[in-house]
Amino acid sequence: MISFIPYASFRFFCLIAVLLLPVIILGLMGKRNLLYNDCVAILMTFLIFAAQPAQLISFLIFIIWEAVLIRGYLALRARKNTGLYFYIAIVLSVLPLFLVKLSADVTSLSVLGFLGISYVSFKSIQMIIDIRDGLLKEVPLSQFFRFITFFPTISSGPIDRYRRFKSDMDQIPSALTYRTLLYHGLNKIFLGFLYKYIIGYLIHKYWMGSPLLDSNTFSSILLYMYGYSMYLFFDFAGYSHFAIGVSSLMGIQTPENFNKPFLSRNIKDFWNRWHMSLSFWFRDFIYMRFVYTAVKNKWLKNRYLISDIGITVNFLVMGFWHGFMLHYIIYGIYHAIAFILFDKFERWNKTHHLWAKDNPWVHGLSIVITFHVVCFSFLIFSGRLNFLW
Amino acid sequence: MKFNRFGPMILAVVLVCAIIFMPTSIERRMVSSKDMANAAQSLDPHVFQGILAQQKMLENKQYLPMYGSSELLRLDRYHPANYFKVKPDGFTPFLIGRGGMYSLVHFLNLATTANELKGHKIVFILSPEWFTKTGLDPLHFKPNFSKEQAYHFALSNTISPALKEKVAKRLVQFKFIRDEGTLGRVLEDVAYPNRRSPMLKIADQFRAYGTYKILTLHDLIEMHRIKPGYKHAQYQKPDFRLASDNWRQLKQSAREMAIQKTRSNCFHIDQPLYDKFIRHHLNKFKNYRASESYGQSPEYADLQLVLDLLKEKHVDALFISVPFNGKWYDYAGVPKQRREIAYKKIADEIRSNGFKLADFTRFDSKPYFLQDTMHIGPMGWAYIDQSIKKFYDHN
Repeated sequence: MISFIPYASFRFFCLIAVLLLPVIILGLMGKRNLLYNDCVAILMTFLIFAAQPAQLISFLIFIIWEAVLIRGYLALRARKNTGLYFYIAIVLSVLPLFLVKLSADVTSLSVLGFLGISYVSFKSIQMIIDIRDGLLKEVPLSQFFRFITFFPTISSGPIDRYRRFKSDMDQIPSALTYRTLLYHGLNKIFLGFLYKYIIGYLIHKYWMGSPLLDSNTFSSILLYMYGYSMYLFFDFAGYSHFAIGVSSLMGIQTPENFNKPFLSRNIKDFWNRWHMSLSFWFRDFIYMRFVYTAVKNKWLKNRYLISDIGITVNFLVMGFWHGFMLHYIIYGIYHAIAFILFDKFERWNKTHHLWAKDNPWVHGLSIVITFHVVCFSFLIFSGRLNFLW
Repeated sequence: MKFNRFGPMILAVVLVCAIIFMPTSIERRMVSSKDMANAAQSLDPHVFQGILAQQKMLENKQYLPMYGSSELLRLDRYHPANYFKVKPDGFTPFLIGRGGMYSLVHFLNLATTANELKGHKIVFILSPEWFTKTGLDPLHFKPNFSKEQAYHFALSNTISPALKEKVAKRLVQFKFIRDEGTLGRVLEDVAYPNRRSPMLKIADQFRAYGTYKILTLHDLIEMHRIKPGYKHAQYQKPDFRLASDNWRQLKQSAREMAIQKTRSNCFHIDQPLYDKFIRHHLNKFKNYRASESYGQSPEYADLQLVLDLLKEKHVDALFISVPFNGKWYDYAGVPKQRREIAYKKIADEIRSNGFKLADFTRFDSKPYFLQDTMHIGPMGWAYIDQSIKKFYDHN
């Protein structure tokens, strides 16, 4: 069967151009046909997984599993709001993702996996947390499935939030608003072509593919580091442009993923600009939850220490999420350390004023330093240094 | 008023389409004569897997295309590419071929240039070891199969429909071609025209045309990247002292060179090659080809397809029939009578179709024509140079 991996082939773009034509025409008239959109969603789900029927089955089982969990937890929560139910629900909803990530070490588990399992897991976990917090009182199954199987973002995000998604679904854009959305969407898709298929491709083929980078010398590893970091950005930012652009055409304003990350002036700033939908998800649902719980239960007196532990947990989980491999975990720890050190420096600088913030030269230097700290982390991430350990 | 902002996107689409769907004739014009000169003897696979260089080359009467296989790589100073530099005769040999390029592979080369071939002179070197019971196998065909040429073959009408259908039937016998998606389907449509509904056929034709145009664009880019010169160890520089030699002297000096290189063993095989692959495994090679025979081979039919095409286009072709290394094949378990069958069938096929044949199979049991078990050596090239010159000068 022909594969329709999102945004990976010319074929895919032709297919969605045809399928979305009615959506665009209706949109320009200020209308939306839910039935048609649902049919497209179902068709796309099948086509995306068509090349691997095993993945399709895993995916269908997965969404039913998550639907049962969310509806079940919602019912239990309505009766009694205890932490126990919440934690059980969270563990059960993370379980499939955990097993699949574990398959990096235990390969037999990989049969459970399917393209985009992380991103759909993040979406369901966040719904359970919203239910716990009383922010979600009802989840109609149709809405849940529309949210989870939203095909433009199914394979690699950006990770939307249910309540935000639902408000876009409830609000049919006027003809005028849709015209802006259409422009915005098409523009994003063209930017995506530039990023992923021109810049990213050229970097991958001629920079990273250069035989000069094969040896394990300092200079070739350094060149690889820059090349890989650029490739990572242009490839993923290009992909995100596609996902956001196609969402736009469907009248959904999927959140941004990148905001000039290589112009960040410190590591904290970087994580507000790089893979934003993921880092915000981790910030809100891991770091903040941890700090909140630790403070509320008075686990520790020192709030800085609590924050540092929160950051460590946050980046360790992120490392493990990339895969149960040593270099991903080192990548997580590296970012945790960078983040904590920067935090300490920033506090120290408040009283000592060593690092002037408004000076353009200092600003420039900060960007260069941050860029290198980040690029080095990507070098670890790439596995290029695996020969060291 | 906001609609104007769509302008750049529309322009991008128009530009991309213009570049991709630019007519092949314009693409061909963009290949310069300098690119051609670089391509002529580079033996770069992009040349013989593409179409632009070959079409362009045939527009220029200066080039004499030589179709062959791995022997073309044996670029010693008697090789036509070198010899006709030393003693120019008004043409530059344009080498098309590498290991595994059997008749059917060359058919696609010739079919994609069929319009340009009309009335042209060409040289075609045949290797007797192609004519086995299996003939062309996927192992040799797959790396030499050019999708660009196959698309061109399926989509164009440069050869007669009957021949086209026959060749398509032969191509789709190979599973790896049937499995080529759109390409496999359009070839099956040519082979079996009534197999599918016209709607499906047209849909695939559109898709095939898009892919074909992307491949020709890629071809164009590759042609600009071709560098002159040879990457292979077997290359010797042209030797200008050969210019004053007559044919007898030339053959004599080539013979001496061959003796020099192959005297270490009784099979007259190039010494480094013999030492590396044969000397220590001699027992293994005893009768290792004993089951081989050349009476029946799909290769005869594949060669006939080439001959049919050349007849259709009134091409003036010289076929060169090369011998086996007799001593080696005796040892390998293929007796002379069996080899003679191949020689005779090849010669009959070429002559009965009215083409010229330079038959060197008399060197089967005389040493030095070849430099190893199958590849032409210095002395072989000297004889071949003479027959090429005679062929080229004859009107």
